[in-house]
Amino acid sequence: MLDSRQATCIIELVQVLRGPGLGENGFVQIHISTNDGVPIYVQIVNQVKYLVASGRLAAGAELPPIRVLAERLIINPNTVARAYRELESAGVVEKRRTAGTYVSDQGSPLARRERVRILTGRIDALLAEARQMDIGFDDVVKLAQQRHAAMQGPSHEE
Amino acid sequence: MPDPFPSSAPPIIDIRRVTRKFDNNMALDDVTLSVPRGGVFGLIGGNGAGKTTLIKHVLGMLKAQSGTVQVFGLDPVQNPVGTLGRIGYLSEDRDLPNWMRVGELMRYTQAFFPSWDEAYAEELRVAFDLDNNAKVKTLSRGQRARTGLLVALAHRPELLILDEPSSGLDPVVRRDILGAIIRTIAEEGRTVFFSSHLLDEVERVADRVAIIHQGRIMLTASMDELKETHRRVTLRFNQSLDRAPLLVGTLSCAGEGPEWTYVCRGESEQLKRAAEAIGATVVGDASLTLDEIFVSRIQA
Amino acid sequence: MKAKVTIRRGVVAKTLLWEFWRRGWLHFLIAQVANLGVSSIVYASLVRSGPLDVETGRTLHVVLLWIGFAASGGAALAAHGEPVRFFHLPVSNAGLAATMLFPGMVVVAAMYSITAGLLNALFGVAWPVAGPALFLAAALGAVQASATAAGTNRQARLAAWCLVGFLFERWLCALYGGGDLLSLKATWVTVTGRELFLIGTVVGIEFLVMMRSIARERRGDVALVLRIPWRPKRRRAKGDHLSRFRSSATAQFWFEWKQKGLILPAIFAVFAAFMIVGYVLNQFDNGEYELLHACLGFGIGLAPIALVAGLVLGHVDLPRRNADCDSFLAVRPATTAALSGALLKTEFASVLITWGFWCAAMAGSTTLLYADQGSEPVLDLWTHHGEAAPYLNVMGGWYAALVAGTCLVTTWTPLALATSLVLTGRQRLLIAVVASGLAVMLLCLMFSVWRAEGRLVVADAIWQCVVGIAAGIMTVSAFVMAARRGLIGWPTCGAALAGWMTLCGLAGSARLLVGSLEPAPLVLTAGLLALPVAPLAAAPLALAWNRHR
Repeated sequence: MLDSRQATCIIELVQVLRGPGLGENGFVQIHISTNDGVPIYVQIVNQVKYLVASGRLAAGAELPPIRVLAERLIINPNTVARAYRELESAGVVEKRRTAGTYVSDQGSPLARRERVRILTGRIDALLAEARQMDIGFDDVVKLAQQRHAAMQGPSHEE
Repeated sequence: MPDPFPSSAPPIIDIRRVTRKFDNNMALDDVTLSVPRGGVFGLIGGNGAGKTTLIKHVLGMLKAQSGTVQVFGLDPVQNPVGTLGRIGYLSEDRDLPNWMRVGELMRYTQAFFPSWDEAYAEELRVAFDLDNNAKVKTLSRGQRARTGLLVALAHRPELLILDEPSSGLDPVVRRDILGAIIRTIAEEGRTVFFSSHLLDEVERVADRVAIIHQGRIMLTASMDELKETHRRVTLRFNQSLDRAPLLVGTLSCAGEGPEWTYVCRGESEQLKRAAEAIGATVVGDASLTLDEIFVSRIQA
Repeated sequence: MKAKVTIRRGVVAKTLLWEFWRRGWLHFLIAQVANLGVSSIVYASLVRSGPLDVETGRTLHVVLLWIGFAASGGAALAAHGEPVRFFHLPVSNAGLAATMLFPGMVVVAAMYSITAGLLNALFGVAWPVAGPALFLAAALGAVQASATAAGTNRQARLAAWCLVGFLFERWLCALYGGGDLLSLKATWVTVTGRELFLIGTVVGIEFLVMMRSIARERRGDVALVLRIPWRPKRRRAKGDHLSRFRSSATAQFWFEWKQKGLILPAIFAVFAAFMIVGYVLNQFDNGEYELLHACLGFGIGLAPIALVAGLVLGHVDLPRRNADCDSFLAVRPATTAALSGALLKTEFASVLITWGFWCAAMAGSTTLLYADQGSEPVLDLWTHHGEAAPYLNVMGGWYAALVAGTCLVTTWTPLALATSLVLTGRQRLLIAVVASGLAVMLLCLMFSVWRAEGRLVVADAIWQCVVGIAAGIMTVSAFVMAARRGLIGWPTCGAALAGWMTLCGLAGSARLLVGSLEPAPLVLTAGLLALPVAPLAAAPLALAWNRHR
């Protein structure tokens, strides 16, 4: 059975599959859903973190102003403000006075810690799933090596 | 954006111990509600819970049989100009004169509100795709709602009151209305008070929420507080049970066999400790949608 | 296996009849009471001045018959409603036509019979019962059938009703021995077989027309669309900005005027059109005399017309016939006094325009009669066959001003007071007041009859003082209540006081000229003259009661 952290990771995974990303004109595309009860600001925080961690939001890129994002997503500006505050305290973004909110430099230890945290969550979920499917840890490691080789494969041949 | 609820500012709507009976039907029972300035306040409740009655008290259409109603610190019955002149109102049935044309309605409403912004009104009219010469009688439901919203917004009111703004409307018009709500509070100091039974919309836009049921206010809280304190906890017991034990702080429980799910309010930690005390393990802990919170509170 | 749906015979008809009764029983009651009341009042007041001659009696009977038909027919039409609400039910077209025609016809005939019977018993006026009852039933059927045949287009309906009205009016005059409305030759006492057959045929035709119309409506076909361009279409150029209102008071006046302003003038216009057309077509025995006579009659009739108009104009939301102060008007950021003031201003402007037309018509017809027949018939009519001669002798030319002024006051007062009553938005109160008002009027007439017959001895002075003081007290208390609630301020009270004193001064000086200066009639006049200014307080009070429930 999954605990709360694993459940959150699965949900984040689902949100990733739903596809935040860069839309046209380089705008940040975030999708909000009120179906699963997850607080809206948490959804925004998670999606922005993923975008940054996966490199789709480059360091130094500007996040939309609070008011603009609120109007686009049809949510309360306070919610967006709270999400931005959380992102700032997690070190993912930084607020430049009067200039807006920008993605912080990826080299900072805080940002890296964030990325490691996301990956840890993924690994935990993977391990839990494997346990459920009755696949041993050694098999999982072997599988991971196989997949890594397969991904490197074509570039070797080239 | 600044912190939305500076407690020093007086509330924009202050309802104290208002009771209202219609013949033998208790429509409002000792209702106390305080809407702070700035932000979006959602009044949620089922049909016939008393939302429209409460709003009518705020507008001065109903006199409080007991208790006091103050809007902007004034009595709406004694001072209609001082209160209604700063309020934009969209009624539940979009009450507009059928014989007027849209242009005439805008011109007529403009005369009552000195803060009417003509350019903004025209911008809204174009954005809502309303024909100046169309008679209100010929407008569809969504167009009527948009027209009503236009004349409520165009004078940039300090307080926007919407009674079931989305009921009976298609998703496009609903987006317009919600967008208008967001734009209104994005401007400093303005407040939105709306009643709705479409809870996913309330969840998106409201800062504070009050639940009214059968004329009584069940709870008033900020949206964050509400979402944080209501959780769904799933417990796994050592053996199969026919009926799960009642635990302190829970609103409802469902399930079968060894796994039972509780909806609890307040501290979920307390519940978890109690669960461990009786030998159950916590296997799930999730947040609830506003819909689920509302239903479980009403049914409790 | 297909399930067969069977409906017991007669159940549908019974259900529709029940629905008709439930919808309309209150309307029928009100119409019957109104009918009886109006007829009784007219007869009671006429009986005072001696027995009627046959011709006048006949004319009165026919006029009251049509007025009664207007009330009972209106009630029956309201009860029937539109057939469209039944189209989804499993009823045949014939069945639907029958239920939309015959119950109303029965009701109208019954109401006339009751009225005639009671009047015959109370006043001995010898009204025929059977004939007119059947005739009115056929008339209602014609109204119903023509309305459905014309479809939902208002202009087409109006045209159809005008045609039907004209035809039936001619038929009634023929049944009453020929001649036109104001000079019928005989009373229709017995119904011959031929007349019965004719009525039956007409009813049959109505039924067929109704059935065909319902079939057409059910199919969704549109009747002949009559669009007479009676108003030129205003072309608004692009970017043509409408001018702004100067203030909220102007805007509210525009709002009320657009809905209610032209109702009274329209009534006068219709009346004037009838008279002019009748005069031009030589329908009257003595055209010029009749013109002035009718004009004077209309001036007298303006008071009850204004009363009924006030009951209509007082509706806060007239297009939806809703007297409740619903969201739209209640949330205007304007004081209650401003809102009611806009309505009173509209009504005053409306009355002024109508009165202006009436004065012009009076001047015109007086000149016409004078040019045609000299001053004798003119003076005879103006002084109501010599009754007001002393006033004329003393005041000379100012007498005309007195008459005109009295007309203005007696039109404005019932209009504004009735409006204030309806502005309260309480339907039960309205019904109670109207019913008790009719009862009081009847009682007063009974009292005056008994006094004339010597059965009741009450000095004139007493009842005059009572009425005058009562009217004064009611007005003053209305102002006090309105001022206490902050609805009106000192300027309004001052204006009302000034108005009252002006009116009293004018009336007093008229009486002074004539020579009678007894206190009791003065008290009565002073009290009654407080009523024209009472609406300044009564209307805001009523609307406040409506707006803040």
